Amino acid sequence: MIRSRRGRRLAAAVAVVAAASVLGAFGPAGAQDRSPIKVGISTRLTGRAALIGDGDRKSVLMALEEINAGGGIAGRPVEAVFADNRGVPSEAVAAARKLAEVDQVVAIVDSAGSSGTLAVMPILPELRVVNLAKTSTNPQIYALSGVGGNPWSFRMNLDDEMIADVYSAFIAQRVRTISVLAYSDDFGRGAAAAYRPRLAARGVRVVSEDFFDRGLPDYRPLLSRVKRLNPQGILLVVTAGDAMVFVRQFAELGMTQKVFSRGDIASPEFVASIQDAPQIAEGWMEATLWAQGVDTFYEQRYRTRWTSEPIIHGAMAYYAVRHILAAAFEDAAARGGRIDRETVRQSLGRISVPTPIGTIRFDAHNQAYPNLYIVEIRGGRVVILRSLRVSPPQR
Amino acid sequence: MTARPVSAGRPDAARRAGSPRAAVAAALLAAGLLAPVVLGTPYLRHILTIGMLNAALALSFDLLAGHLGYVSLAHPAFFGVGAYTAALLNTRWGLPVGPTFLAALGGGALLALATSAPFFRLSELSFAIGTLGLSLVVQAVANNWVELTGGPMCVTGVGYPAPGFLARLGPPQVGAYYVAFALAVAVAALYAALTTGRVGRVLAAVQGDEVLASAFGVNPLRYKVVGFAVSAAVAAAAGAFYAHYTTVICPDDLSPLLTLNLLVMVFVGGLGSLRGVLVGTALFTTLTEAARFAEAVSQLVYGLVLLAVVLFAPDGLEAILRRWARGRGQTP
Amino acid sequence: MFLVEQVVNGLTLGSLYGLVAVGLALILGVARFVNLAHGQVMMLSAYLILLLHRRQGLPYGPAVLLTVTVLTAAGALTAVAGQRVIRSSWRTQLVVTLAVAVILESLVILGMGAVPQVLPTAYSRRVVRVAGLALSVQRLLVFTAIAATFAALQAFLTYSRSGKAMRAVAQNRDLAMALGVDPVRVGALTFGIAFGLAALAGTLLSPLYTIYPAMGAAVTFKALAAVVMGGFGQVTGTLGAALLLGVAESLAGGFGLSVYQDSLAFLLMIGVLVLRPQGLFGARVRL
Repeated sequence: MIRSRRGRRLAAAVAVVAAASVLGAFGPAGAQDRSPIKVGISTRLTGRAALIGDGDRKSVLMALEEINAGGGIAGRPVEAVFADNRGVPSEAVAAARKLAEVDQVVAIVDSAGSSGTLAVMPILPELRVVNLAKTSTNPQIYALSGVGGNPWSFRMNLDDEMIADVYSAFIAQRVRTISVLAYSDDFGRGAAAAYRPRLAARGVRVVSEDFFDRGLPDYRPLLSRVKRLNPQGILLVVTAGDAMVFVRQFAELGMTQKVFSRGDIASPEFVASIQDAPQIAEGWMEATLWAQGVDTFYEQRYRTRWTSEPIIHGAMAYYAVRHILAAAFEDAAARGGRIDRETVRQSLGRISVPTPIGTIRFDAHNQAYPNLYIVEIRGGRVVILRSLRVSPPQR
Repeated sequence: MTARPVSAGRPDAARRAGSPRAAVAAALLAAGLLAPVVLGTPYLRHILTIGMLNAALALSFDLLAGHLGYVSLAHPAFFGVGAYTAALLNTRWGLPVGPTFLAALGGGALLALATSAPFFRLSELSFAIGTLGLSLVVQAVANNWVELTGGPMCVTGVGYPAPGFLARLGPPQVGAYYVAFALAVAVAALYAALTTGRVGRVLAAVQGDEVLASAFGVNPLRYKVVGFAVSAAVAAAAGAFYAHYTTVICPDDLSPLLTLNLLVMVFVGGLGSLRGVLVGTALFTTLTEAARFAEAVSQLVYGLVLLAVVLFAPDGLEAILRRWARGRGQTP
Repeated sequence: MFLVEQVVNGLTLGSLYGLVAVGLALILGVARFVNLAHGQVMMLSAYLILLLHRRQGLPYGPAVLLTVTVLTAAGALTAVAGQRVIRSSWRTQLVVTLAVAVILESLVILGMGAVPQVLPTAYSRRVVRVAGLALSVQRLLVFTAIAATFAALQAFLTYSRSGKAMRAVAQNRDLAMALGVDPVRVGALTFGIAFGLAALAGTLLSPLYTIYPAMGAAVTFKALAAVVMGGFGQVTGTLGAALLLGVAESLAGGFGLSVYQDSLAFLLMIGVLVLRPQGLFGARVRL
């Protein structure tokens, strides 16, 4: 009974919000055809991961310049509104609310990290706005989205388990014993949890698993331990800043293990840091959603436009706006003319867009399956070894 | 610079507790009650909800810092214990939302009582450092005891704080707002009760001259311990609300950043003053939201504002407000 | 052998904590000032040497000397210019230095970006084998420099006139002033030495680690723990505690407890506060 009453309240609220958004769309511009389509970008503009927000911002602005130079979508320009989520879940909720309610965006691209995405998901049905996650790798998001109960949550990137399915098979062809060294956070622990059973199933023995906080100054204690256990390989789940220290202490100890990374050793920051002694990371491998070399067209334009190096997060933000949302807007415009939150959601479920990272098509869980890239460091350069297609999980 | 900047104002504030102050309180109460009806966008309601949460936290922090002289940097620890207690009881054992608050309250108070004996043997400086250590340890436990807390994967799917009758008021966010509002009002009332009248005078005595206080038969330690426990219990209740409201609680939410925010709210507003702390909280909450629009330098601005206030207006905005009020002849 | 290796690993980390912590202890003991921005001094020195050595191409040795000199001067200047704050209540000190820490960190982020940087030197790349351990020359340099620095500091405090004045102020400020010790001069000297030590940490250890804006905050907390464990303001005690802390963290990492590495310092600190408020090494003479 309460449920139905609540439902009615919700319906009433929805009607108000819908009315408001219609007013918003018609109100200021007068000529409705020319009013801008607003896209919300919730990202990390400050804090530890401000670099990510910077890449997102530049890439999205570039994508919009391109879209608008081509006359916009259905004659309307596309605009972006940025909101800082500081990489903190509660802030991600506030940012999503602000984008949906104050700025009246028609869709949100989210770069909050897995915890942030999981925090935002429950309020999406109330806000009635699409949240497109682009780099959140927690497997739970798949389970909860689309037919999992949340029709507003979409994800364009592969998650830890999908990556682990492919990458552990790849690792198993190269080593029989491995040590796992990972951040003690959602990224590191989430990844380790995904690899543990998958490596074991393929006969790779995990001889040690160590978790540590970001910014650990000295890896030698850990490395000395791994050296003594003497596995054939190391699975390293850290970001560039820590990999920079790691690789030097690894070299100092004269270790020879094959390093498999799930982080960003393919990033320009890491690659730049080893240029004085490129041999120290020779042969290190990584499974990644994107790396320089995947899409040289985007890279070159990015470098020309911003005179800085493109990074994975920015690239994903670029594809999210330039290809995926643009296609959804076009689809919505072609079908009924109206580009609003509901039609964008429906269109996202329908479209099939070719992008530089593979064809994006959302399944019943609102999950897309772009390519997975296996890269290797050779002579201080990132070389793309393989581009793998990933199939939907058997869950 | 005096150690206790605003204490001089308190007796006089107590005397005035009668008419204008009661009117202001009533007006604030009415405004708070009507806010969700008046405010059109849920976003503003959300900011107001966070503001209420901040007020409860800042007042509980100031209860100890402004009235007993102990700057406890362990607030994130109590906030975290409350948040995790509520979140885990709710998600793992299905405890309904109301009782989770009580459990959180108890958890916070217990941790404070357990740590108070050693902490209050220390000097005020060592107390600050020791409590900082406690907050870092609790955060580390939340981060690393994965079996219990889920570690960095967070506790998700925590029940929304819109109990029973509140659910009938409209969307659940309205109910949540009223829970936060009730929390803030209760804490403000508690704060007023503890800092004025007889208890207030005893606290002032304990802070001013412990030896003298004991000479008059007051056990300073007891007041300090109770003050610490009350402060911790409130922080824990705020934590519980936060976990329910955002439906997720992560170790990152327990970072020392929370302490920094509290310092800004309390010191900018005015240490030891209800009005000052509330003004500081309102300002902080608004500015934090405003900063979401034009970011990049917000941390720098926090730092500069905090520095400027402590250096040039050590008594905070409260002192300025008071001077202004006196200028207009409101105070006898 | 494994244990020896972990102890050596820990000593490097302990040296980092020690250099910062001893400065913190000196300032606390002599000037009665709690500097929560002390780690940020180290961070600034790391960025300065990054600019001098990597960007401007100044050789490593002169770059270290210049950086340490600049920060020593900055320390003395801070002591003279910030007298009012230094003499304020410790509560004000906590808030002011916390604010300064935040400001310095944000400024560095704005100016240099948040991306971690490396500062490889010829010494950090050359590895030698000492008694079966693979160690970079930089590590050996760190150990030597630290031993020499603390020997010199100890001699200075024990035998020189200025050092004796510092100790006198630490033990009884009023009496020392009555006997004609100039508190401003002593303050400047104390801050100068403390900042210089932090700069030594930043310049010697950043070739082994990375340079990033938040590197200071983490070290401030650890150094604070060492100061508490060393008995608030005692130089030898603090150094001993810092080295012990480094070794303890290293052993934790070496035995698969690396997640607890960071909380270890604070647990130990709380333990010492509660059980031995006078510090681990008991009632040794102050300074």
